[in-house]
Amino acid sequence: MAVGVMTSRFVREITEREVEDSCRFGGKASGLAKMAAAGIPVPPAFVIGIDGFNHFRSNGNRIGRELLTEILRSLQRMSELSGRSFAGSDQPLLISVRSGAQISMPGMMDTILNIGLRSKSAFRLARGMRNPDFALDTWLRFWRMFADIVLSLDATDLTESIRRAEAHAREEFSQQAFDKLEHAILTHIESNSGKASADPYVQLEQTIEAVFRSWDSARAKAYRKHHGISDDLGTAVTVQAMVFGNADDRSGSGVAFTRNPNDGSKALYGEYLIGRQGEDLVSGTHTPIDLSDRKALDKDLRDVLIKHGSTLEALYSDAVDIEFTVETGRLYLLQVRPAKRTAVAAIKIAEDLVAEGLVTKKTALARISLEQIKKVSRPAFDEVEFAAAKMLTQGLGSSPGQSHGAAILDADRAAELAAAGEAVILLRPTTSPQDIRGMLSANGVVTTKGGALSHAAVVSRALDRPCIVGCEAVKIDLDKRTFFIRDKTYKEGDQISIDGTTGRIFGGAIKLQAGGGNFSSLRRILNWADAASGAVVWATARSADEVGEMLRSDAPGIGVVGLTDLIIAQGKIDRFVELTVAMGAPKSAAGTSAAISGIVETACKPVLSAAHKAPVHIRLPRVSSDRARRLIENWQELPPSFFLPLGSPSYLQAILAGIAAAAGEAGHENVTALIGGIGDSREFDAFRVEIERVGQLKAGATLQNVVALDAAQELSQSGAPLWIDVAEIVRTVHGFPVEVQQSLEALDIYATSGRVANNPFRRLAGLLESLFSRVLSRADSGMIGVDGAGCSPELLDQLYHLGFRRFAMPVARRDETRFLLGRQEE
Amino acid sequence: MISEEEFCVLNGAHLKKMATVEEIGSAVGIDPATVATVLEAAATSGLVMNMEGKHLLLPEGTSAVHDYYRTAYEAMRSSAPLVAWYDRFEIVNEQFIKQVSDWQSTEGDERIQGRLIKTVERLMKNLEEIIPDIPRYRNYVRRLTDSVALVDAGNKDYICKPTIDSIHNVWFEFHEDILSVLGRPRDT
Repeated sequence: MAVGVMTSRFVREITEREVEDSCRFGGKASGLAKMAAAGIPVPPAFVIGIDGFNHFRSNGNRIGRELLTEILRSLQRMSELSGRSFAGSDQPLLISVRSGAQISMPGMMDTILNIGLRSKSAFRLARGMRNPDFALDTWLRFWRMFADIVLSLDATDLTESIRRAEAHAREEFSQQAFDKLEHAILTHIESNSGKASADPYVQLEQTIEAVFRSWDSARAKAYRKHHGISDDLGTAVTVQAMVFGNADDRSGSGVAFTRNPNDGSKALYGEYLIGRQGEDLVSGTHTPIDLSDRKALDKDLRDVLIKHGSTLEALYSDAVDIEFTVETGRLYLLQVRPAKRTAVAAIKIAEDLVAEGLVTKKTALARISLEQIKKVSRPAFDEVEFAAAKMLTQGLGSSPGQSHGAAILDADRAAELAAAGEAVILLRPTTSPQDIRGMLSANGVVTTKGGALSHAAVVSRALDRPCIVGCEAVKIDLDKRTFFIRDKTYKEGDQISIDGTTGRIFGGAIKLQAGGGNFSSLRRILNWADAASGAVVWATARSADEVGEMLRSDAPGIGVVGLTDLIIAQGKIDRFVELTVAMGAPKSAAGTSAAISGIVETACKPVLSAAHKAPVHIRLPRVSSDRARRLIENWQELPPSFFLPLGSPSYLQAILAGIAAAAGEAGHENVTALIGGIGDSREFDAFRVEIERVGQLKAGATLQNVVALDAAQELSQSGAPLWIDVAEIVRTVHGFPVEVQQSLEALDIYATSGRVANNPFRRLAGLLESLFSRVLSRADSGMIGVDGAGCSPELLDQLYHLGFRRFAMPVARRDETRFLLGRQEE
Repeated sequence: MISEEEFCVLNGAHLKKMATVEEIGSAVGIDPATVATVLEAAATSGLVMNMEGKHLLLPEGTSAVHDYYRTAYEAMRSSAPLVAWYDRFEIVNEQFIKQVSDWQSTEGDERIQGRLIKTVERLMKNLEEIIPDIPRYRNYVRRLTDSVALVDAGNKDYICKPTIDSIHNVWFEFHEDILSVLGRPRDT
């Protein structure tokens, strides 16, 4: 070896320490070198460094004699190490060729496997194996990859064109048939303007040149340009010996996880297949040994896998998965990666790695994705109602999640009903791009036809909505707007509940509750996030159940709760609207005030009782709001003064009296009523007088317009809590109707087309950014919070960076917001 | 029968269901002013409904599009090379959908993404073979190229987000299109 090191300009063995330098030898070789240095057994390999690439370029895009000599010398050494010979007829050495730039990039040629066979050696190899097809498959796999990647031919065409010769080779199983197959392959390639040789040395040279050339592919160039990566960086090429798990009875292949990828527990997990190649593991045609079963696997192999696993975990500071092969009793680790894992496992592993001292909390948070937090916090069926629910039928669950809604048979009707606030499940024979509008607005999709790869399944997964496909027991009659399940007829609009994991459909609407509440690892991770962000996130609960859930998951306060939402949840909104209109009339009937107080009291009491001592902030109804305008039929007939924040003291008093009564009954001393729509500190002073008059309550405000932002300093001097209704301010400052705010997609498309710089609900316009900053610089920021309903994650992040540390979020989005604010990019 | 230009515009609206002038224009490669003119005329003759800037085909518009497919592509429906091309497409299509599904279930695995883009490049290459017969298919190549570039630039939404010109969306529109050309019903 010493001789090689001294004379090689371009090529290095991966056992040489300098190969760890990824700038000169690329990421792949550097990873292999680090593993080799840590005592991990890897198959023999060498690398052509970036210097070799530069030589290739300056040599008119040819490898050239000098580089080629070095490659062949290393190949010779590899043959000696492995006891096999490259391109030889007996005991052939097969190799893989991989590109290895410092950063991997699209458009770069990636991997070619199994170089080194020709018809003669393929046949001899086949004869020596207990599975003769394997040699043929290995050889053809090489040709398909070579055709596709190096020669840019369609591999399917190649397969098609040699079909007969291949079948013949398998049947006849003679040297002659193998020769004919090789001839068929070469003929096909040549007739498609490819340059082909059966000689593995020529193939290797062509492959290495193709890797080098792919550095300059259009896509790779565009990628580098976009990311500001220099075109001169170049790529290395790693050449590695292939090892075979099907060599004999003392061989095998497997995949090992250092931790269980489903639940994250720290225990060896994976599969091992004796006497087989890795592909057999993937194809599922053979039953492997379960690595988590202590007795099933040879103890020595198990021990050594665990030992290497912990070395690699220390090297990667993460759980890893390992592809390994045993060739005639000798273990090789082929590929090591940070392990794939479910959302639950990701959170558990992050928690454990911190406890084991392998990573900091900051790193642990960065390892978890927002999607994973969303997944485990996803609403789930109430257990009691679920246990009592009646299953109607079962299809193929193809996008996870549980939800309920009215079964609607047409995408447009689904979209309309959803816009009116109804929960909808889209039930169709199948879906196509033309059903998108309905799919976007539905809480879930069910199709009677199709499989896990159907349009409905793919789109639902992209939208992260539950989906069930292939429900053949459901018959839909689109004309009559009915559907049948097992002889029972249902009308369009009947309530159903669906579980996109199990594929089960239930009758009726099963209640949903926030998920993740019982998952202790999630609670801990989110507490770390809180500590990292220094932010507090209140919960905008809408029911006593939600209040209970939120207090169990460490909510510092309950707010900003819309009183109107509580009244809607009680089913009293129609009566409340009537009474509101009556209050607005010039002479309201006696008893109207008392009736209003009664409704408000009934609506608030369960929430306040459930809240115990946790502070609760309740937002008062605003008659001038968009929602009020829609709820009140003769809105325009109300007297203009009624629309002003303090325009009707008697109405205000009636409402406050109701909340105060509920607070009194619940024994709750920390309830704040929030007045909306004000813009002047004198309005707030007047509101405080009203609050003092009823007693029991504290005064606060939601800031919903720009003037209120300007007055924030004065408003905050009283020490009263202030919540900024950011989405409402963004909307009104930009002059958008509420419909635009409700469909962020429309503005996204508008922004993508370049008509505006940003979607203002994702990134504040400069004017608003400076207004918000000014509020923070002048007012006591401890008392000012962001009411984040209607704010996108990007906007919340921006507000956090402006300096806001108090947020109120709807129950379903609270966990992800805590995580988002606490997770800093590494 | 409607003219070729009318067909291109209405087919764009047909495949997108509800679309603005700009969306249709960029999908079918016709300048927005022309698209607007065609859509206005079509609205007058009851083929299209303009719902606050989004265009929706009315039943008569849908049958006009289907009629055009039937008449204009009648000869192609029995063309052996095109049918063979489509059979090959089905294999690529199966691969593609499997890869999108794998990509989703692995939360965007890089290696799967690499293979997926390779499949897209395969389709673009294969499309070149039939573009001489159906020149408007060049638009699909252009749109796929754009989406791939956005994915490469790190915008993963352009793999399969349903509301934008993502690879999956363009691919699916193309699939619907070629099925209509061949007069075949769509599988699920």
